[in-house]
Parts: sequence; structure tokens; C-alpha cells
Amino acid sequence: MSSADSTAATSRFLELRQLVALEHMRFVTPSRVDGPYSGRHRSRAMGGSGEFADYRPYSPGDDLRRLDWRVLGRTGRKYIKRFQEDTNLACLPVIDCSGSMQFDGRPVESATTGWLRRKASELTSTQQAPDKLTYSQYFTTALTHLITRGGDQAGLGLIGDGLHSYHAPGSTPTHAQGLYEAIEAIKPQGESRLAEGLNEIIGRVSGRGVLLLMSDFLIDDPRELTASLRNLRHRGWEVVALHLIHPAEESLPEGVAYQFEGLEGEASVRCRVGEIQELYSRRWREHLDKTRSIATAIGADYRPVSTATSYLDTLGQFLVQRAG
Amino acid sequence: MFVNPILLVVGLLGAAIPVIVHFLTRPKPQRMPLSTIRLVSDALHQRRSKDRLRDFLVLLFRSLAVALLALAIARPLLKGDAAADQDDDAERVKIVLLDVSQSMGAIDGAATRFDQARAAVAKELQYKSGLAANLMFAAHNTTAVFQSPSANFGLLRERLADSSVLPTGLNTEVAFDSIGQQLEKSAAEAKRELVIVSDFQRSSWARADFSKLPADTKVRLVSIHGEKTLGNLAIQQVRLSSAPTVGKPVTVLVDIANHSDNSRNVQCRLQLGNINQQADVTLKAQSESTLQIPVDWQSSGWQTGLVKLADVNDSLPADDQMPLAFGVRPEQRLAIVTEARKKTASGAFYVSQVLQRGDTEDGNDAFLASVTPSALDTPAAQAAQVWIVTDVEAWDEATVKRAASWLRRGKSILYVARGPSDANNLQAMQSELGSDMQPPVELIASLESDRRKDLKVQEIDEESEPFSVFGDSLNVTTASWRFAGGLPTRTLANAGVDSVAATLSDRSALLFFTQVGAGRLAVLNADLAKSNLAFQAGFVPLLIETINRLSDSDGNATGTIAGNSIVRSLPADAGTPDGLSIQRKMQNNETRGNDADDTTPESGRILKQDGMLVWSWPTAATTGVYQVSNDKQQTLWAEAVRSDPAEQDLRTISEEVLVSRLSGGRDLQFQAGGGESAQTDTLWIWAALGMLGCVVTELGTLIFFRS
Repeated sequence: MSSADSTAATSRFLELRQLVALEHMRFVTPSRVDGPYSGRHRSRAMGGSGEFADYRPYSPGDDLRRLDWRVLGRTGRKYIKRFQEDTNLACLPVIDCSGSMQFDGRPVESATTGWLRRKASELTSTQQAPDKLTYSQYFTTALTHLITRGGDQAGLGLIGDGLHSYHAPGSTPTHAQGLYEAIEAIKPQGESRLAEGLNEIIGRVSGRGVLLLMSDFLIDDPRELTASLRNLRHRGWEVVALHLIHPAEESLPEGVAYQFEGLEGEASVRCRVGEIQELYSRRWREHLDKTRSIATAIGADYRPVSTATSYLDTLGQFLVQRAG
Repeated sequence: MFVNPILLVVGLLGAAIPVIVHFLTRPKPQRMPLSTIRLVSDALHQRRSKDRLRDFLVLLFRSLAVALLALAIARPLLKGDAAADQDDDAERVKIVLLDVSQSMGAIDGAATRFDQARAAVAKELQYKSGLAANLMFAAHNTTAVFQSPSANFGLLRERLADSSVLPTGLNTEVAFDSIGQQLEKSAAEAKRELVIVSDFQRSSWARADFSKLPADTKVRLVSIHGEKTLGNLAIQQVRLSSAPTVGKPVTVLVDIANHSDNSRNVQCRLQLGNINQQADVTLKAQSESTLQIPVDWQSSGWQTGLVKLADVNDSLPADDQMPLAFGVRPEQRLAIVTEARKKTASGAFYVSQVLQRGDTEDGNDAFLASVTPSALDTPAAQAAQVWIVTDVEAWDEATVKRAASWLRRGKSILYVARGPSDANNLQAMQSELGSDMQPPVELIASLESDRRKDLKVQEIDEESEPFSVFGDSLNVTTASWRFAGGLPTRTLANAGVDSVAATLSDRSALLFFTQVGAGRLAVLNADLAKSNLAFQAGFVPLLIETINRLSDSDGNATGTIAGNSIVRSLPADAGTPDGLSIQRKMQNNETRGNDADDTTPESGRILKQDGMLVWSWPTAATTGVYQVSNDKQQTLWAEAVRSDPAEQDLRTISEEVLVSRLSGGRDLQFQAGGGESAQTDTLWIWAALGMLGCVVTELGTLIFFRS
């Protein structure tokens, strides 16, 4: 991935040449949004200068300027004309920056590790599957580029053991560049406290928009996350949950015994892989099901994303599906 | 108690090997960061409880298997010397009684019962503080190593190693008496323990009475026999159909017993001097049979040899052969001692008419001689085996002494008592012989003999000679007999085993027999000249059978059972004790060793008693043929010492009978023992089965947890 040097906006995660194919696509939302500016998205408000939408019977108190006088003259009935307002979209990608996001499926290779073990490690590790954080950085950068280029607003939230950083939605190139730099500067650390971070974001955002949560959802208490997401939904925000999955997470690596070390400060555990492989797979499926059920329970758009898939494919597919 | 205690220690150490291997073979883990470590922890949390249980069970069963294997190899003895382990400091006395009777020589498995018994006794004779022990060997007699219990266990074990099986039976009464004497010598406060190591053969122990033992003695019975009864073939007895006489065919009767549960074909061989014959017989299980082997002797003298069962592979080889020794008489010779004139109707006349074979001028032939009482030392009288004394007057002292001497040395006399002089003669002989002559009745010297007439036969001993020859016709034959003369008799209170063969209607004895020294005396209490017996049909067989009974005293076909005493009067011409020697004749399958010295104290001594030479052996301990020879190598006497037939049946007495019926209220502990403890001590088998069970359970555990 090479950065594009033909534009002012630069980031090592911004691959403009690869994004050319996606630039004609727009990030849309099926629901009506409540943006500050006029845009391409349907507003929740019915204005008077937009596109004609519908008639409705006159009620006392209605603005007489909206009365269709021609119909009144022809039929003697009083109808009010309604017009659809267009507005712009505020999208807030939120990236989980906890330690677990940097998992890349590779064992620790000590200096004393033998050639055979290294070879085996290479064979067993998933080829060219980036870690989840890197994947989300590429994805968010590309999505931000497409959103801001379409005149919509893009923001950014970084959540680790709390809200690390928050960028209110904006649409200017300068704003976008700031977002790129913020994305590039992400340092994964600490445990994942999505609920706390989202609660802080809720306190900062205004209006309505789409919150794109990219996380592996490996959290201690899913009930708090559910409450936070439900709060967001009540405030009119659409939630899209991108569940990032590294292929090495779906099953434990081949081998006899491993000492697994936690990425978020958990104590290491020793085990024979063969003894718990089946049990682990069951637990993993339960984790996926639970995450899906949380998302669907609050009406969020849930999408599991494997980091083995190219982020461009994922993004294109995502945009196409959103466009309906 | 373990047979191999060192292996037990090694095995128990080996039980730790699976645990060590388990920890040493744990794979070295590879470090790997993992985002989903929570899920792994959850899985492990659920899995570990199972894994720990599995690991625990697998290690438990594996270690248990190794420990049980070690236990099985160590061969534990379930009923160990628990009693001896208690109160180690207390003073204790242990008497170990080892059965050395012949049945202990039976081969049981790979070793004899005696070898197994010695191993069991060796375990009992281990030094412990405060313990004094003694070892006693029990057979016909019981001998102890020490006079009283001692702590010298080294010597006890040494004597144990030197011990051997005797051919005698087991006398439990003597053994218990000896044990009682030993225990009495111990301190009063000492704890007393008796350990009896035996095969507990039924024939020997069925009459054992443990109540004779001191009441405070703890008795432990160590049984040396396997589960199954050992089969045994044995020669019970060898008899002769009649007294062996030159030129007279005799049948050797060999009684053979099959003490096994299978039918057996037996080949029996008789080796007797130049005679070598054999006969076959099929014996059913647990049965007896008599083999008949006809033989004929061409010369007189002592015949020695043996009867043996050929190619018999049974448990007790010692009783598969039996030594034989008996004297073959020269052709029978008789002498009539009388003072009656020839050709007169006297008793001597009637007797000579019956016995005379040739018709010679003087009435003398090679078979029958006629001498006067004063000529008892003449060759004609000496050659005769039986003297028929009839029609004699009162004897002088020299004649009485001479007659008594010959009687004591083996001559037999048929004395026809017709009047008071005969009663006096017999009384004088009884005075001369003393205790050697103990007739059942005494003749009363009275003048009533003339008044005795028309006396009928009252009671007859029809079972024995001479009247047994008449069989069913006895009553018919004797009904017409009428006796006259003779003397009234009086039954003696101290009458021995001698028998009265017939009595008359006046309650007087008609015919009685008595043993006198080596000879026999028969008295016919009647005057043949006045009685009608000489003219009756039964006179000839009566006279012949009476003489036969008198002459049957020679020979000793049945021999002496080992363990009994031998007292034999030697012939008058034996010479002096210094010139005589006692030799044990080698059997065919024996080799002459250093220990088998011929003239040893083991074969008794020659004593001189009352002018006679007597071979005396208080306890005949070794089987075989013993010959008393003079310096001219002439055999004066031969005796066969055979093993005790009571030891042939190897069936054992049950624990229940011993402990309940024979214990006499004593606390008896029955314990299986012996070197081949595998036959009774089966704990190691259970340990091995337990080991297999552990292995199978371990595999099952692994399969269960894997699924």
C-alpha cells in the first residue's frame, strides 16, 4: 500500500489509486438524517424549498404559504403542499484501540527458537492477514475519504480503556487531513472499555448521524455496551457494527502446547491446544452469536468482517449494500 | 511378610515413575499473544476440571498398577508371622514340630512336601529378641534338637538342613507328650507358642488329641499340602499262603493299594534269591488288590529280596517296594517222644500210624523219628521241627530243662497229656521257663483222670487251626468224639493271647496253644488210648493241622514295620555275640555309600539273655533287609524292615476337623505354608489381577475423557 502523493491529503493508510473505483459510490443511509447543512441526504424535516413530496389536508394553524391555491380554486378544497428537505450526513467512525486489536496471529519468536519451529510457525500462521487495528485504519481512512469527498461530514472516535480521542464530524479537507493523521497515530493499548468510550461520545455529539463502530467486541461486560448503543439509538443515531475478525481467532493454532499471553494485560495461560480446540471453537461461535444478538437487539447494522478480506472489497460491498 | 521384600521396595519406587514421566514429558509451550485469551481461559476453566480429574485418575491407576505389580512379584504372605510380631520385648517360647514321617516325602509339585516344610520351618526359626525356640522332629518317636528351648537359631537351622524323612509313621501321642515336656521347661511367665508343620495326613492326625497340650499354648498349624490329593500306589503287605518249605509250592500274596483317583496298570516284580517273577494287575481308583505269584523253593535257609512296582510314577516312591526276608524250612520232620512200647495200643502208636510215611522195621524214617525223653539231644530228635510227646512218665529235672531249652529256642511240642505225670511235667517246664511260658489254662494234677470219660467237645474255636480245616462239617465231625483220660484244668487269670482251641463238656480245656520263647507248645488234654478220637474220621486232619500250626512259627514273611522294636532269639548254635554281625543288605537300586555302613548301632545289638543270644533293636529306623551272620558268613536270622503302611494314603485331614473336632478347646490357627506357597497363598494372583484391572480402567478412563 502506497500513499497517494498526487493530493494534498496524505496518509500511509490512504490508497487513492485503489479508491478510484469506489469514488463514484456514496455512503448513504436508508434513514433520514438530521444534518446541519444542505446535502444529498434526505432530511428528517419537511422544508418548503425542496422537492415536492406530498399533499395533506389543511389544518388550522398551518402556514398559509404552503396552501395550494390552485387546487383550492379548482376544487374548493384546502390542501397543504409538502416538500422534502435534503441535508448532509454526519458519520462518526469509532475505532476500538484496545490491545486485542493488534492481534496478528503470529507467535512470539525468541532468539533461541529453532529453525524447525520457526518454519512451522510460518506455515501455520495465516498469510497476509493484517491485524484488526491496521485493517480498521485502512478502512476508516478510505471511508473518511469517500465521505468527505461526497460533501458529507466525517468524524472520529478512538476508544481504548476510555475515549482516547474524539473528532467532531466535519467535511473540509483540512478536517479530513486531521482525521488521517489521528488515524495514523493510533497506538493500541490497554483493555477494551467500549461502553465508557461510547458514553463519552454520546455526551459530545449533537444532532443525528451514523456511528460506525469497528471493534472485535472482546469485552468483559456486553450489557454495558448494549446500554450505550441503545442510548445512541434513542438519540437518533444509526449504529453500524463492524465486527473485525482475524482468521487466527476462529480456531486455535496447530501445535502441541502454547503459552498464550493476553494483549490487554490478562495473565498468560498454558494449555495443550488439542485438548481445548473444540471447546474454544464453541466459545468462539458463542461470542459471535452474542455480539450479533446485541447488535440486532438494538437495531444496529451488524457486519462481521474478516481481516483476510481486502478492506477495499469490504468497503465496496459495504457501500453497495448500504445503497440498497 | 513377603517372599521378595526387596522387590516390593523397588516396585513401590517404580510406582512414582508414571508421575515423574508425566511431568517430565509435558511439552515445552510456545509463547503466543492471543486476543481471545478470555475464550481460552473459559474453555480451560471448563476443561481443566475434567483434565485434572482425568490426569488424577490416569496417574492413580497407573501408579496403582505398578505398585500392584511390585506386590505380586514380592509374593506377599497373607497370614504372616503376625503373632510373633506382637510384644517383641516379651519373653516367648516357640516349639516348632516338624513332621518327618514317610508321607512328607511325597512329591507335591516341583518339590517334596518335606522340602516345602523345611522352608516353612526356616521362616519360623528367625531370631527375635526374647524368643527361645526348639525344633522337634516327629515320626514314630519325637526327638528335639535341644533339651530345652534355646536362642541358638543357627544350630536349629543347621539341624533342620540335615534332617530327612523317616520311613515310619507319625505318633501324635508321643509327639504331644514331648511337646508338653519341652513347654514345661520354659519359664512360667513366658508366652508359649507351638508351630506344627506337617501335611496333616488323615491316617496320622485323625486320632490327634490337642487337649493334651498345655492350655495356655497358642497352637499354629502350618499345613504343607496342595489343594488336590496326591495319588499314590503302594505295596501294603506281602504274605505267604503257607509256611515256606522246601519242595512245597507257595503263593506269594502281594497286597497293592491304589490311593489315587485314576485307574492304574501295575507291574509287580518279585526278586527273591534266584527267583525273578513278575505279574500285572489293573487297579481301579481308590481300590486294593492282591497279586498272587507262585514260587517254589529248592533249598532251605533264609531267603531275602524285594517286591517292587515297576515304572510307577507316583507321589511317594518309598512305598513302591518292600523288602522280604523269611526262612525256608527244610522238609518237615517230626519226632515222637514216648516211653511206650511199640505195637501197643498207645497214643504214640496211633500218632505214628497217622504220621508214618514209610513202613520200616523200627518205625523210624526220615520224616518221623521215635525217641525217648532221655534222648532229646540225639540228632534224630534235633532234626525234627515238632516233637509229639505222648505216653511219658514223670521227667527228671534234666529232661525238663532240656525240653524247656529246646522249646525256648524254637522247637515246637505237641504234648498229649493223659494223666497226673503229664501235669507235673508241664508244671516243671513252666517253672523252668518262667515268664516265657504263660499258658491260658493250668492242668490240675489229680487222680480224677481215670474217672474222666465220655467227655464231649463243648466249645471249639472254629476260626483258627486246626479246627478251621473242617469248615461246615465241624459239628458233624466232632459230634461223635468221646474223650477219656486227661486232666481237669483251671483257667489262669493272667492268660495271654494264647488261645484255647477246644473245651470239653466238663469245662476243661481239650486243646490249647501257647507261645514259649521262639517255640510253641500245644497241649492235647486226653488219653488217646482211651478216647475214640483215634478211630474217628477227624483224627488225621486234626493231628496234621495241629502240627502245621505248631510248625508255622518259623519264617517272618510280613517283616517288621519301621519304627517298631525288633527282639529276635537267635538259634542255639549261633555262637558268641562277638562273632556275630548285623548287616543291612543292599537293595537293587541302592548304592553303597559311606553312611550306609553295615555294622552300625543303627541296626541294634546282639545280647545274651538267659543263655540265649538275642538280637535287640529298640527302634528299626531304616527300611531294608537286615541279616545276622556269624563269622562263617552263615545267616542266622534275616529280618525285613518295611515302611509304615499307614503312611501310604496321602489324603489329608481337613482344616475344619482339626480346628473344631480335634482341638480339644485349644486355640488352633490353621495356616497354609510351604516353599511352594503359590498353591495356597493366592494373594499375588489377586494383586496381578488388580494390576490388570488398573491398566484396563486407565485405558477406559482415557477413552471416556477423550469422548
